[in-house]
Amino acid sequence: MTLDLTKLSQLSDLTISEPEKFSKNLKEITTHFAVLDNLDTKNIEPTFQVTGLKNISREDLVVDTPPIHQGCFVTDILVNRNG
Amino acid sequence: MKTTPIIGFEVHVELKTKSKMFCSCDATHFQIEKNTHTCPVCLGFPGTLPVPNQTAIDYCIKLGQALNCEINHISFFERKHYFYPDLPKGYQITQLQKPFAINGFLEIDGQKVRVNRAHMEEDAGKLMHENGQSHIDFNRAGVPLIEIVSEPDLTSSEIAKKYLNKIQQIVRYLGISDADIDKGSMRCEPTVNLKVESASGGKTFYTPLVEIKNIAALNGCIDALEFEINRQIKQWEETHEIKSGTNKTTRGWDADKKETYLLRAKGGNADYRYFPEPDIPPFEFTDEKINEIKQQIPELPDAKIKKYQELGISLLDAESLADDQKFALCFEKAISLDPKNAKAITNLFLGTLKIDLDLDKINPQYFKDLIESLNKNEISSTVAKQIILESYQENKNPLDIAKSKNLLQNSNTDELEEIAKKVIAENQKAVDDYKKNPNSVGFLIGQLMKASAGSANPTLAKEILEKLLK
Amino acid sequence: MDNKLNAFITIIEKPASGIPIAIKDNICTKNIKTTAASNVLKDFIPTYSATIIERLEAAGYSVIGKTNLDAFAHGSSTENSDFGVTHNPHDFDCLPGGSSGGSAAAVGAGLVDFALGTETAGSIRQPAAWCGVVGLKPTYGYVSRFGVIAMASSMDCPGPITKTATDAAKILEIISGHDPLDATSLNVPPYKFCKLKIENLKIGVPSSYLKIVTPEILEKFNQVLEVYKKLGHEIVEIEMMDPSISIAVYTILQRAEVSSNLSRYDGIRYGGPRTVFNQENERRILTGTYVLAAGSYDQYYLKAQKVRTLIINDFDEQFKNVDIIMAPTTPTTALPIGSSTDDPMFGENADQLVEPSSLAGVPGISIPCGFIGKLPVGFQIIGPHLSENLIINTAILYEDNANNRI
Repeated sequence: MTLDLTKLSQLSDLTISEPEKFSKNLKEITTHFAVLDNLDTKNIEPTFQVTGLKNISREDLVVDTPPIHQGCFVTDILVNRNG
Repeated sequence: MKTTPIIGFEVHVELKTKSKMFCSCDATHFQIEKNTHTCPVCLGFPGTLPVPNQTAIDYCIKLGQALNCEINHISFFERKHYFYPDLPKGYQITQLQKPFAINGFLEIDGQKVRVNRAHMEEDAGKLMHENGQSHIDFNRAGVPLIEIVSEPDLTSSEIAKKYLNKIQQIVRYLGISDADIDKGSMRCEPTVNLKVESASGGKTFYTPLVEIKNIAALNGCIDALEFEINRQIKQWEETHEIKSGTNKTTRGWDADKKETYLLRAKGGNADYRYFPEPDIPPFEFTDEKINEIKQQIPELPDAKIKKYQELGISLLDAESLADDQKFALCFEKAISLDPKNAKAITNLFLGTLKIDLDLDKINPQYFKDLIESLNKNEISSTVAKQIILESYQENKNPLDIAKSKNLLQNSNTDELEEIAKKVIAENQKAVDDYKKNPNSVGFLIGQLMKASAGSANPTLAKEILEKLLK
Repeated sequence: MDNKLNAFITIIEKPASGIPIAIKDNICTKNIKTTAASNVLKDFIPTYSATIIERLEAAGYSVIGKTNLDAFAHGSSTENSDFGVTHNPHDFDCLPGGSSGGSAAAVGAGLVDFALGTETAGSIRQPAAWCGVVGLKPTYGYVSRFGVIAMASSMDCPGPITKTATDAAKILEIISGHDPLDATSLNVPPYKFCKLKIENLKIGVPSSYLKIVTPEILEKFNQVLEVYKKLGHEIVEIEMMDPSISIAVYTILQRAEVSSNLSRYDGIRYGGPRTVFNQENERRILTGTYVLAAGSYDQYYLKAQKVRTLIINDFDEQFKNVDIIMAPTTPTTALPIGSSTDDPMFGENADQLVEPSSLAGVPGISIPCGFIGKLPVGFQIIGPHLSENLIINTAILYEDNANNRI
């Protein structure tokens, strides 16, 4: 995948402090990934959860917690960024 | 040129669970003081973790089954990433690859509308703009939602309205949501484009997709669709722009100006970087569990409508009876001792009883007695409609009410003949008028009614008078 | 007490009178500033404590301070802290390791007997080895993560850093066991230490791990194996997947989950703005976004999760033939301060001997086994899922029989 720093910056909501350095770092990091290409995982299921747990949920009950914040949160972040 | 609308819907239904989807905060948020139903979890504070609400999941599976969906045996949550002030974690916990329910359908006017999926997700907070500042209320953040995505199978705004009504009905029947579009507990976002076929039977074209947001009422939804369909026809005539992978747009509905306006220009799809939610283990449902939940589904509107039609009730009346579940159950209780008179009882229900009824106050014996009396002509249908309301409200046998108010009709021919003879004798002028103009019998009928203290069966009275005056 | 080492970010003036414990500053403590060693949270005071803190306090422990770490646990040196590096108690010019460097240094310097750290891949065991103390990474899911500032959700494990294995067991008894606030918390009761008579152990030693360590460390490790051999246990050379594979898998998964977990820091509800993240944080978030982006998901993230399955299977297979696995904890002893700067893969390389077990979610304990010059050396014992009692007892066996305890 070609590196589009503007897109990456936007998706991460970060200003890239040193774009050239980062590009170089990323390239270095991704060279370590190449070792995976040699492994055959055609019939292997991915592991998203190592616990083996299933069907974890809680009963529909209300538990009151002390308020964290009074009133309303104010933000000056522009709203039309993502539409 | 022939244009056919192609409409699909994303409908979000807000569940009326007691607590939120991933934390134990109170899930009510309509007109609640800002940021009082919040906790570190739904505010996305550091170190907090989501734990799913079992009831919400059961509701989703129930709804999926009511929509004739397959329930996935394995299902899991995923994270959908985007930055917005009302999204505390910077990602929404939702479902993508393995939603709880898939591949369902609804039948609307004999047309099959396919349901692609019904999945669970959490709601975001509410952003408000006041005095040049943006404020956020997170009471709504984390409230459970079910998203129902249809295939683009709807071909007109009328059918679209029926589709939405049907979903609203089903959801209310299941008791999982109030589904009030104006309160935001049901939200509809249509996507619409047109199929354009040239008159000469040549090629077929498709206009670009448009998603419509900000719809706050059911009628508004239909108006929006109508407007958008017309706008697209005009746009096609001007530009002949066809649908592509990158020209889908989003428009908002302005209910005041009654038009759609551009919200988000073209530019391809957002990259949400979905991946399975590591904080919540997957769900595995056995056939037993799926069936167990299916047993909990009450009889749904379409089944009731069919049942009522089999009792001789018209489609229109059956739809009215089945529109509200409580009303339908009251009706069914009312006819339980006397199903063959369902049609007559329907008239009562769609007449004076079309109010918010209490199932406990419905007494099927009263209805049986009343209809029997009606069939024997002991009371008129007008009287029947009046006294059934009072009977319901006072919990009294309607016939007792009729007796006490002297509303029982006298259909005894001999008695009425006696009274008629007296009336004829005392109203010579009226008799003469009648002989000249038979339509003036009304006066004599009135006199007979008066003489019988209103209890005479008016039809019979007319017959007897006419017979005697021949 | 801490001026030179800089092991603590916050020291409680008047702590409660229980048994003193130092807490890594990415674990939320109610009403006590919790910064994750980042300027983003430099003024953040949580109104809630992590479940493990509540359990410790209920069991009679008192928080005496919050220890330094790499900001948001991003690192294996504690050099990535926004509040200055922590020094190694054995050599001031060296790193303590990371990310739980502050906790390891505090115990290593004798400032406190008990500390909590967190490990995603190495962040307890590696600094424990570099500071000459015991560090236990429990089975994933054994210890609740509620209130622990998330780094990589599918790998984070809070755990004890102590002087002895017995002390680590004491802490594990308190902090482990099911927590309804953590949906990934195993449905098991808390750990209970039970003295085992260890006989006829089959100890697996991965040859691929030994290829990466310095000759001096290898020598120390062989001395450890001698102790066990003398006690009648069997050493078996085993072939495990090359650690470089784990480096790739770990880097991809961790960066991805980091980019996601740090999305909540937008400065609106708490904390500072995203512009305040340090360069390592920035790099990890960007890399994580990169591997999850459309077009990359299958090639990187999904592939890594599949290889993770292979790594888990590798351990499962090995444990059919051996009871436990032993190896040196780190490829080198503590490196000089400044070594991690500008090396985007510093942590992954330093942690390559612990990454496989972290990915598999199995428990591991690092035990000090001597010095090379001034600097401590540690070896690790890795066991199957929920085998903490076995590996702790195996560690105690070494402590009781070796000559070079700290």
